Amino acid sequence: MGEAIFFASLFLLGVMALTLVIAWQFVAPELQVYRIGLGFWLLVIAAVSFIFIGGTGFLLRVWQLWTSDEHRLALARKASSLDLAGRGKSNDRSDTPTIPDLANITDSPGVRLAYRLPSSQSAMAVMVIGSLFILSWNSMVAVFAGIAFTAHAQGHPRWFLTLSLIPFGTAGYFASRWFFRLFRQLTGVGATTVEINELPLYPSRTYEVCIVQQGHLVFKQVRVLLLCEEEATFHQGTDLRFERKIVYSQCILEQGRCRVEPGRPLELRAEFKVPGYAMHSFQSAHNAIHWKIVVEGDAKRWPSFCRNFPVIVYPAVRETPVLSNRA
Amino acid sequence: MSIRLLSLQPCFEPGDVLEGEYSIAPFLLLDRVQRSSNLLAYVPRGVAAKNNAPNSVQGLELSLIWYTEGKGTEDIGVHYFERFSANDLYQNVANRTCNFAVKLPLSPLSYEGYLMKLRWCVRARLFTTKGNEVCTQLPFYLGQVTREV
Repeated sequence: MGEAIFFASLFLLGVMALTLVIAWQFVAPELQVYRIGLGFWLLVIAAVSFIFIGGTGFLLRVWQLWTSDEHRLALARKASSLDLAGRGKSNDRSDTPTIPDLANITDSPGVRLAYRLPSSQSAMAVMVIGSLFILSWNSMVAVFAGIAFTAHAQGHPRWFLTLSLIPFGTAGYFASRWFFRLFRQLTGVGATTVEINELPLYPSRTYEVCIVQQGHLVFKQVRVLLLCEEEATFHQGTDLRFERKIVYSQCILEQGRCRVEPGRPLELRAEFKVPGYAMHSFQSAHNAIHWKIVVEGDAKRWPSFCRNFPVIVYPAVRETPVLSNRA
Repeated sequence: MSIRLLSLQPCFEPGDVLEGEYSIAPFLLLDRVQRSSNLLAYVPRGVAAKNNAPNSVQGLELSLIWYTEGKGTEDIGVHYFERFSANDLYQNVANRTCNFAVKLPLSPLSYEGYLMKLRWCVRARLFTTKGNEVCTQLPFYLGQVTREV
């Protein structure tokens, strides 16, 4: 209710301001209180934006007060189901709206088995953001160092700037070390590909998986796991927080010491069964259940690595429709 | 106002048809019921006195929803939604057709997890002419995954 009053007040303020500004032009143009110019148009734009923001906000809040959550969601669902673009119903997911779209992981055919699973790109995103930060930070430190050096050379030392370079430089050193360690981990250990014979996965069914590890290194151990992870997003004060919990873990494959050489990648095959009581993959705005195949490796003279390959588990049905059979 | 499922157990499989019925306290429809003498049997004794300050039904929303509980912010999804006006409700009561039947979807299934729980329910929201709102819901299980794996 408070928000509705705020937006209504904003709307009224906008109307009054606009009326005043325009009315002066007709009532007493000789006074030239608001002469047509930059200031006039700025006032008009501000008043119109007040009217627009206030009016929209007020209508939305009133609509929220007058309609229930279910009614709003039903209207939103109806609107989203409208085929405005005329694309037809080639991707009808009306029965499984909360299961992530299968098309995202079935668009890449495999060499040995039907599908090659995409890798979760979170580490790559961290590396890209990290590289931008390192470049910006170290550039800033270099510029400050140049200024401080020049000041010293000219005989007018800037001691505050010089001393502040010590913590700045230390932070830059540790950030660079972290970045290159991550870079080495991501690029030094060769690419990992995971292929699977069928998608989506269904509870109580057995699937075949093939892991191919490229590179030039000696592994002490390689483990392949099937994981189910719950994810919750929530607000704590003004912060948006995530919490994840692994609720199921199954070791699909465990390989001891082995050598990988260029041209002779490590190829591992295994079968696994999705548990019969498995909850299907689920994704909503603030909660999710993810299933993934995880490849963990401990390599000699390399940092250990862990790579995730999401899969999608559908709910068990009495008569399972064959959605994909490319194996 | 109350909701009742017609099945013996509140457990359903994906694709099943959920059947139920709703009922509304007769005094909420009194102003309309009194226009029809054959429906006076619905009015309990002493209820007519309440008619001095009429608080009758404006509408009813019946929905079949899933919602999450747990650590994360609550999410809600609507599978079925229907809004009945006062006239619709009066007709339904008069014709004794306060039943509903909804085909259940394949997902999401009911789930009791560690960080989140997913629940299904039939929810009825009654709006009165005085601006009051009465909400009642009846939970049920969809599927057999009722705990974390």
